[in-house]
Amino acid sequence: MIKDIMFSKKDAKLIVFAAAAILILIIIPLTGNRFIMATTFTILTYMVLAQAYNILGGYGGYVNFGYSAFYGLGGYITAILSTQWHVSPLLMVPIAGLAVGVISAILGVPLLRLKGVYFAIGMITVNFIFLCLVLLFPKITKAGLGIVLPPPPPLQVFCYLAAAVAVVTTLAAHRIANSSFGLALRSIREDEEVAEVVGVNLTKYKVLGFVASTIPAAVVGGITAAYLTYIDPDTMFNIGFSVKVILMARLGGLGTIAGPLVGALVIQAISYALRYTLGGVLHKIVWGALLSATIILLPGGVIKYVRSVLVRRSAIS
Amino acid sequence: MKELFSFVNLVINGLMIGSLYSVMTLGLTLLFGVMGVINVAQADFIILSAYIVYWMSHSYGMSPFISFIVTVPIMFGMGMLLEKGLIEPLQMRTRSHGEFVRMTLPVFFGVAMVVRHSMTALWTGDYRAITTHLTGKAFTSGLIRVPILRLLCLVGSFAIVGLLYLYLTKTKTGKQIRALSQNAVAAKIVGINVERIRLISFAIGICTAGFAGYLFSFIYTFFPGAAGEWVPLLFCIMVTGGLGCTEGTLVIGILFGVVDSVVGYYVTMAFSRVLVFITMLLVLLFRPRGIFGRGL
Repeated sequence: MIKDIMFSKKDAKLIVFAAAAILILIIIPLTGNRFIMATTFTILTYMVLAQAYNILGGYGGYVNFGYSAFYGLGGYITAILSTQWHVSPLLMVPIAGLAVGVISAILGVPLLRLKGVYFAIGMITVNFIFLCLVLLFPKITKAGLGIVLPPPPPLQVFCYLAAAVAVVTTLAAHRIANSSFGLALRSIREDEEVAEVVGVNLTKYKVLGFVASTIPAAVVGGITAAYLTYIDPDTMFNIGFSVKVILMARLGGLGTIAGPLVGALVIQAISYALRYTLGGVLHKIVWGALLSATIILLPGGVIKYVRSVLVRRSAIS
Repeated sequence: MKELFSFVNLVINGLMIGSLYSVMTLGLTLLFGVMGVINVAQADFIILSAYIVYWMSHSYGMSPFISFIVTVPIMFGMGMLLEKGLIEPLQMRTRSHGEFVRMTLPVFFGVAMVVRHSMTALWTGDYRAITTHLTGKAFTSGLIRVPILRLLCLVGSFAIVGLLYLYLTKTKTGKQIRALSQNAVAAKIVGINVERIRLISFAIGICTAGFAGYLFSFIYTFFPGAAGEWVPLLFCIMVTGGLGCTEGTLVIGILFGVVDSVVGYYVTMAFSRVLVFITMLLVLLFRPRGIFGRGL
């Protein structure tokens, strides 16, 4: 009981960090600087994505290269509903999230039977099926032309909204990680057969993990669509986007709460820095090279690497 | 009657572009079958080879018909470099084979980005095409029309598939490559130099892209980003035909070529692709080793 009321030293540290982060998030939009706000918004959305991806990809060990499919779907549902019904896109975001939750639950049952690389390839295909479906119904989706959304609310709204979603997703991920659900996912990652023998309901937990990781993607897709006021199939259903999110989660450290947040911050910062210093084409070349290099050089992620270096240092001294 | 002939023409056309699809996928199948490498950069290597054909003919006046003698060795060298520079270190640093296989995808995604955007930086995003004295010419008999270049493409595709088949079944190195694809540990035990075979098979996988790009340049226009549209299709052919199964790649490549040609004409290209992708998903779900795959 006492433990529940009193915070341990580690918790106290964490709370200070969280309070500081939330304070910064409250202050930033008040500055009114558009550049800072836009950057904050983008980083926050990537934090949500990396955190949500981490639920199935990190704890469950299912690498989802078609993550962009659900981001794109969320964006498209938001855009289509808001232009058809002439309402603010942000009001449609929850509907998009729910719809994608249902769709991914249905898709997840057969798809999650695939393992390892087959799952990866299957998810990539799902992404391309969605892309082709968008092209196939030009009356609804405007195909390659893309959809123009109504003018967006002020940037501050987006900043606060993204911050709220990030906080909720992180809390949810924390809850999941420390529950029997998270334990089940971890056991699936370590050895699916053993997990099944021990009595873990594989389909249930995998599909739940899948839905838990796709709903935030859809929500972010919807918010981003409202923010950009224009979406087209190639940017919404982009495998490069999935790879970026996966890299964020991996680089930070899979299966941790802080990892994806750190990864999103670091990678987005690098991405911005490259874009401003090198410009259009060159930054993509360097980005591609960095992508390959980091995966080969830092397989365990930054946090693990830093920790191992620190341990080695303390061992030497 | 005219309808029937146009259908026959479409099927013939499908056979010809389908054979090209097969050659484009061949390298993917080989790399995945032997080493478990998911090479998403294959289509970019194909476009790069097409560019090499283009520049050899534009800058040095080389006949495009023989330019595969340039593209294939370049791609072979590139394959060796990539194996030494990326695959070997990745293999050393990953804990399990499964993790290695999954991580090859983002690694090669990075490679694809480097290749693609380097091409944009060097040669702009303009569309390019190769025109020879045979472009636009065709054998015609009644209402049946067979474009010469596409027919050459068919012949070239079958030649390269046949050559590869002979190499894999008749030569010592080829047999060693197949042994490695069946069981890496056993291959090592019987005294096969696994590192050398990996290097060679990887280089062969990439150099088929050199040949595919050479054929590709005759019948398609290309630009640096063109690879993006091809990657999913090539993956579909590989998976449907059977992961690591060369014959499957050939048959399914041609089949999908015919589907693309016929459905693309009567409905739309997007619908044809949806069909192809859904076929692949079904195959993946109910027969993961592919239609022609033996084991795995």
